[in-house]
Amino acid sequence: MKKLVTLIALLGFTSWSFAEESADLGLDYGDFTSMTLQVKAWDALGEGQYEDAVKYTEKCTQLYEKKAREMQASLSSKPSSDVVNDYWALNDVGTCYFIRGEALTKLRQYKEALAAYKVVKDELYYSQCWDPKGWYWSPSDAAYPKVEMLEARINGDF
Amino acid sequence: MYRVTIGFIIASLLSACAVNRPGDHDAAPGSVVQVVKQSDGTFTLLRNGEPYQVKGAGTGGGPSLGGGSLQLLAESGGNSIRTWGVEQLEHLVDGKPLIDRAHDLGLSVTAGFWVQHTRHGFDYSDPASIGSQRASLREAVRKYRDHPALLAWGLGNEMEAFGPGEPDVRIWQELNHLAGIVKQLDPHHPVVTVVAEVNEPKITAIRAHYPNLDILGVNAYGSASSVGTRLVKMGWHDPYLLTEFGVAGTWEGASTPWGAPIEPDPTTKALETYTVYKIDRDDNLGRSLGSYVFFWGHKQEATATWFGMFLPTGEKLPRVDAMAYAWSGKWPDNRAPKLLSLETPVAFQRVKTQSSSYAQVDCLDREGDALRYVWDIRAESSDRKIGGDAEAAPQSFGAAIEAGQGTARIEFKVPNRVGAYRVFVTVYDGHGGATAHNLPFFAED
Repeated sequence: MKKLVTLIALLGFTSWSFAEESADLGLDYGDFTSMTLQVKAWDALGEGQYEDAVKYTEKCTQLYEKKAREMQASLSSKPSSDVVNDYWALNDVGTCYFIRGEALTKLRQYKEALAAYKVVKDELYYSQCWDPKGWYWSPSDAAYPKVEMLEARINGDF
Repeated sequence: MYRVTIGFIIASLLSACAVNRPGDHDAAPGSVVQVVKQSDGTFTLLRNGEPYQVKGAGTGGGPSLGGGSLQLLAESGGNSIRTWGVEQLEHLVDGKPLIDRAHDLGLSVTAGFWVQHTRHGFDYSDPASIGSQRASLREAVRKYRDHPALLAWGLGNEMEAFGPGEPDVRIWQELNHLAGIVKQLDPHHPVVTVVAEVNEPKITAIRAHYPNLDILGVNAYGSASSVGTRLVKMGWHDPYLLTEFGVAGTWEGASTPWGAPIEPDPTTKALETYTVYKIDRDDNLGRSLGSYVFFWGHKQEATATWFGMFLPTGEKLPRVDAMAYAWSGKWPDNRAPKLLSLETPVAFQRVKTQSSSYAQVDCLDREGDALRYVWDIRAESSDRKIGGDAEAAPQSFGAAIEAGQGTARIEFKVPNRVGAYRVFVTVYDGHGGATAHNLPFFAED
């Protein structure tokens, strides 16, 4: 009996792992760098592939959140533009939490979106994101009105 | 009585350091409005000696206002309106000129004076044109300076240049001259000048060339909630009004591949409007003197419902309720219907001309009112303008609706002409409330 339970558990774990791997196989994570994952998440968001956008951000946070938090903890103010790229993990993971908030909002998963926005607003608030127009912006600052809006949506009668 | 006396003494003391300057008009004014700098560096707007936070809406008069909505503004907790041109003050509302009707309802008025735009062909190097504009301003100030509803002079709206070039300094110099005229003729009302968003060159130019300005007015949409913090970063520590805000603009959000801006759903628009108001009010105490939501009326801009808070027939849309909640802390007794979903397989798609499809809407009415559904299929707007200039409504293809008009689901045929379209639904509660939404699609052979 014990062997049977072990076998079922093993089969269950194997199939779960395979399913997870299959889900991953559906997406191209490129070179798995935080920058690549962030760019792919933005692209998916822009193309309306919201589930994919969430997966890219999850891969990024899975791989780099620990490093991002170390960088955040080492700072006492927003890095200036000459050193901002030294904080690559913080920037990419913070941005990915913002993108996740955007994508989950589109998917009407409002509580989950709120949680994502709150991470970048309250915990990774020194992250910055490069705008191709030529400047850095703050995902934390951008998340602030989103948090207010989602809290009103969830708790208010809109 | 004691409170009144203390209030008067405080107001008198505060008025000693008022920003407004003395002028040549000594007749008893209908109202006295001052911007007062406090000892801690913050600012207070005083209207007849009482602190006054603007809870306003941009509106006009005439057909675009929407029936009865000025009264609804007052009932919703609003206390002020803003216009763009002085001629709007005479537009009839409920049988009276707008400024008089506003006063009847206890609403103050920031009276707009339309300062001409170079993009409309005005030449700020032409003395005759400049002289004519100055004469018009003098006439307007003399006419309305003693009206008790007058709160401030709105000198210009987005008159700075659009596009890559920064505005010519002559516009700021001329505004400074115009503000001087106002101050000379009417020392009892501050001058507001309204710009389109803010950036450092603009703020620097205003600082350098426009010292007569009392209150900076800022029109902002997608980034409106951060205007206050961005102004501080740009070195603007003086008072401001958020003179237009609401939903992200047609130029700021997502578009279809064929360039049709995607209108947010009405609930999101209500939330966005409410959130901007709340953040601006709560995070900028003593610098933001209040705000004017845009637009308390009906306006065609990209779509018929993007910015307008009313239907042309006068029904309020959900953003009106959101502002009532923001201003008063209470929801109105009768809420506009809530749109839960609008679906059609053609949404955001390229589809064959003459192909069959459907659309369906799910709506909730909190009071249980019977809902009436009106559907339309319209061409994408081909009369797009910038800066809020008037646009023509696009052509309707209502005949494409084959079944279900008046119900929550229609069957329709994609129009025979190649091009961009939208399917619109408007849902009425029969008690003055409505909601509306649309989804774009593209018909191709």
